[in-house]
Amino acid sequence: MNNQWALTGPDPPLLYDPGEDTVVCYNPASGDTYRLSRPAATLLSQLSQHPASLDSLEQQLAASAGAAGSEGQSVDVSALLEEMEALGLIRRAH
Amino acid sequence: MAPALDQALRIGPYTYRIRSELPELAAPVASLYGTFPKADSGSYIDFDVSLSPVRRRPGGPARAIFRFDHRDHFAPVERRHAFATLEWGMNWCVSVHCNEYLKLHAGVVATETGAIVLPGVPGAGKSTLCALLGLNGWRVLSDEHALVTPGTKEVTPIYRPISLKNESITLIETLHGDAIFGPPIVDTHKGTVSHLKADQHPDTFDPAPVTVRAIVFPQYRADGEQQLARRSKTSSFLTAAYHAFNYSLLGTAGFEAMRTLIDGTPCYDLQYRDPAWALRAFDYLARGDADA
Amino acid sequence: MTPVLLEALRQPRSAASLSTAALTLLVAQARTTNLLAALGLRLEAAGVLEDLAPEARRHFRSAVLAQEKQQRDLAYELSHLARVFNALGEPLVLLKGAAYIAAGLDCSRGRLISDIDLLVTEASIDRAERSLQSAGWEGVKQDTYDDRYYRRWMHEIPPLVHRSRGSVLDVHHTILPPTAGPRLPAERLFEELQPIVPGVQGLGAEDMVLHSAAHLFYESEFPHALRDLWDQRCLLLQFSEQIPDFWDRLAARAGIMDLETPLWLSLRYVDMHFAISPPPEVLARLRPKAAALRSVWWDFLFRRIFRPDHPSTRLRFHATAEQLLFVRGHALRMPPWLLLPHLARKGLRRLGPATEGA
Repeated sequence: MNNQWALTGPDPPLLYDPGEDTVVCYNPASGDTYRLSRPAATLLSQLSQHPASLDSLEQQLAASAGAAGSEGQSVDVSALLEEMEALGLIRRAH
Repeated sequence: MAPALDQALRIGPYTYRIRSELPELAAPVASLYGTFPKADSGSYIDFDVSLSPVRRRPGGPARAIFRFDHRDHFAPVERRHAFATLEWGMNWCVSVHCNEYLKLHAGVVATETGAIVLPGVPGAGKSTLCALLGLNGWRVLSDEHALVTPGTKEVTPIYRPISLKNESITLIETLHGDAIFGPPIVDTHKGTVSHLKADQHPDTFDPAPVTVRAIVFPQYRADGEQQLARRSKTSSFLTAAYHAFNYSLLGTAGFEAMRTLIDGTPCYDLQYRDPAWALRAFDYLARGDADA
Repeated sequence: MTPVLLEALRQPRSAASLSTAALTLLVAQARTTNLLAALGLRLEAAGVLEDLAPEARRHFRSAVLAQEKQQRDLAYELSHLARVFNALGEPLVLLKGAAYIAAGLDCSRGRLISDIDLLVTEASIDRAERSLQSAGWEGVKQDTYDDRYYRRWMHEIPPLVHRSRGSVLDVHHTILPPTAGPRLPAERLFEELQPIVPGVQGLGAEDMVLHSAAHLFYESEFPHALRDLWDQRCLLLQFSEQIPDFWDRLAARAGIMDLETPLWLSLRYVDMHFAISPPPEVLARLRPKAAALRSVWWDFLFRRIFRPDHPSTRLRFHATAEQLLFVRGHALRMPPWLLLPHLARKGLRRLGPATEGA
C-alpha cells in the first residue's frame, strides 16, 4: 500500500489559525511560510499527531467538516496531500 | 584632514557615529539631525559610519563611498548623491543587523493611544503618509523599520528624517510650505529624493516602546476609490512577513513574533488618493472606537 | 598591542572588564573578521556574555541568530544534496565550513559559511554537475573567460546556485588548484573519508586540518584569514585531545599530501596567536628549508593579515601585505605566464562600467 502519509521533518509545522478561511503554516525544516486552505490545515494537524492513510484522512476530514456544519463541500484529499508533498510538508510513508 | 563632520547621535535604541570629510554634508546633517540627542563621549557605538571621497575615474564625476566599521561594503556613488547614500547606508545598518527585533519594512506612527504600523511595498505611499501624519501632530517612530520586540505587540521608536520621492516632495511642499527638507538629490535610481525633518512632536526622541493598536496596509491610487477596510489576519501575516527584513532569519521565533503581533490586532487595507481623507481615516483609527 | 579581539578569543573572561569604548572595538573587530557569532558563543560559554553592557550583548546575540539561520538552511540543503548523491551513487563529501557545521565540530560554533563546498572525484565531476543541474543548481552566468579559468586552472567547476532556494555550491575535485605547487594526490583524500551524518561524509581529521591550512596559506581570501586561523586552532585543539598520536599522524599525512610547508606555517601562527604548541619534534619534522630566513618575510606578511582589518588594530603596511599576498596567492595557483594576463584582465574589468554600481 502506498497511501500512508506522514510529516516530512521531525518538527511539526506551526499553524496560526485566526478563524478565517485560511491558516498560516510555517515549515521549520525549510523555513518557508504558506497560506493553507482550512481542509489542508486540518489534514496537516491530523498528520502532526500521527501518520495516517488516505482513507482515514478522508474520514476525519469529513467528520470535522460535518462538525463545523459545512457538510456537502467535496474536497479532493489526494490532490491536497500531493500539493503539501510538493511543498515539502509531508511525504508518503511506506 | 579634520573631518567636516564627526558626531555621535542617539537614534532610537542605537548610537551612530557619523563622520565625513565632505563639507557639503555638514549643512543637511545640521538641519535634519540638529535636534537629535547627542551620545555621551565614551558611549557604546553601534554603527560607525562614514562617507569619504574616492578618486575620480578619468573623465568621470566626483565620487564618494559609504563605509561601515571603516570597511567598504558597496561601490562608490556619485558625490552629488552622498547625502542620500549616507541615509540609505544608515538604514542598511539596521536592516542587516539587529536581530533582537522582528524588523518589518514599515512606517510606524503613533498618538498617545498607541502605534500604527504601515507595512508597505515600495511605492505604496507609506513614507508620504508618515510625512503627512508627522506634520499633523502624530509621532513618527520610523518610515522604514518597525522594530517589534518578539513576544510583545510593542514597537521601539527609531525616528530618522523621512525619505520622500518625486511627487511626494511636491505634495508635502504644497501642503506644508514651512516643512524643513534636506537638499533635493536628483537622478538617483528612484528619481529625485529629499529628506523631511518630521520630528515635530515633543516625544519624538522618547525611546520607550509603544504598543501597536493597528496595522494598516496603505495603497495610494490617484484615481481609485478611497476606503478603509478590514483585512484578513492570514493575508496580513503573509504580506508583513514577505516585507520583513528578518522574519525568515528568525525562523520559528519569527513566526511566533509575527503571530503575537498580528493576533488580536486589527488589520486594514487603506486605499487613498486625498491626503485629507487619509488623515481622517488615521484619526478614526487612533480613537477608541477603532476596535469596534 | 594585542588586538582586543585576539585577547577575548584567547581569554574570554578578559572581556568582562573592558571599557565601553573597548567593547565597541571588540564588536567591530569581530564583525570585520566574521567572528562575531563565534566570539559571542565563546563569551556565553565562559559565562561573561551576560555581564557585558546590553548594547554590546545584543550585537553578539544578533549575530548568533543569523548564524543559526545558516545552520538550519545548511541542514535543509544537505537533505536535498544527500538525495542527489544517493541517486548518483557517489558519496556526498563536504569540505570546510559546511563539514565543520554538519559534524558539529568545536570550530563550527558560530561559524559562518558563504557557500557549500563539495568534493567529488575528478572522474565523476561532470556527472555530478549534470545531476546537480537537474536538481535545480544552475551555473552562475559568467563570461567565457571566467568559466575557462575555473575549469582549467582552479580545482572546481564554476559555482552553482539553486534556482529557487539560492544556495551556492562549489564543487571541487581536489583541495588545491592543480597549479598551486604541491603535488597533492587527490584520490587519497577519499581513502580517509569519515561519515558525518547518514548520507554525508567529510575528510578524515588530518586531511581536514591540512585542507584548512592549505586554503589559508595558498588562497587569497585575506579578510577571513583570522577566522581561518581560528578554525585551525579549534581543529588542532579538538583533534589533539580526541585522537591518539594526532600530531604524528598529522605530520605523516602532511608528507603524503605534500602540504608540510602550509602546515608548518599554520602551526607557527596558531602558536603565535593562540598559544597552542605541537610537540617540538613535529615542528622540526615539518620545518621547511631556510625557515629562519624565510620566516622574516612570512612574519612580515602574515602578522599583518591576521590582524582584524580595522584602524584600531591594523599594522603599518597592512595594504601592502594584502597586495603582496594577493599576487602570491595567484602566483601559487597559476603558472607565471598565465598570471599577468589574468591579473590584467581582472584589472581591466574593474575599470569597466559593468562592475560599477549596483
